[in-house]
Amino acid sequence: MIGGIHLIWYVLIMFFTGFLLGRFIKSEWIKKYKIIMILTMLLLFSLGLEIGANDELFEQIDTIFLYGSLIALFGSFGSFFVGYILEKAGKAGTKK
Amino acid sequence: MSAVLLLSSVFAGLLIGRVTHFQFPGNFVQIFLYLLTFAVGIDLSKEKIEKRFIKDIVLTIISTVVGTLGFAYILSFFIPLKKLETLLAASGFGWYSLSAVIIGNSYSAYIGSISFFANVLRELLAIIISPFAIKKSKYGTISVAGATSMDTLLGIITMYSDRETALVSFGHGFIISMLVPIVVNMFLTFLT
Repeated sequence: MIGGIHLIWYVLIMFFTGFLLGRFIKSEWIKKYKIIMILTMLLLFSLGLEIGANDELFEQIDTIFLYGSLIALFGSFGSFFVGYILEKAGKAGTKK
Repeated sequence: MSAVLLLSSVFAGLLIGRVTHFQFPGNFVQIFLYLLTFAVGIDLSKEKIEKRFIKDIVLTIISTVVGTLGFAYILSFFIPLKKLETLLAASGFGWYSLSAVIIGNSYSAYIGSISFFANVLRELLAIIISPFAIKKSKYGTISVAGATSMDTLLGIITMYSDRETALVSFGHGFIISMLVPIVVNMFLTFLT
């Protein structure tokens, strides 16, 4: 395991530093050179390496996929359900 | 196209990792993550959210957070993961690269991998259902897209709805992207 709990704080600092700094600097180069895409690909590649190289993790790929699928289905359904209710409630409120 | 490239990166990593057992040194992965969040921060700083859509944006954000975490909590009674682990894996709200790497590095590679698949599948599901679901509920469809409602899904949502919905979709994705590291951190703090 690398990083530790402090990693998230560095992530938050980097995110908000970029967000504040971005107001004062040019940012066309990010889209032009597809920086976000390249960095995401590198991150995902390293994530794949981590799972592939880790025998213990690779043996659990079936439960990883099963629980991942269930969380995706429940999370997506829940989001749609609450969104649907709020939208209908909002429309009903407007009609009154 | 980009979704294919991104998925190919994972499968290439899986294959090479399986065959060679090669891994990047820990610091490399962290540096990629820091650079990515820094670049996303700069990119988001240029965008503006129109004030007249704030109520819709707030309601879609509530749908995403309450709906995702509420239903993940219900699911946690039926799967052999801790309740907080299930909530943690769900809290990427579709931003799979960030949540999976943070969780994998800070807590558990197993839960990080589950989070990765959960959030990738959420995006794929959103791509598949959006053209039909948006006719039933705009809020619901934007919420399913999660953080991707401002990038990958924005094009699809724009195509099947109107300009106003596209602007709400963008604002929703923008705020959810900011919330992901905060919500993930909250659950990590409870778990460690």
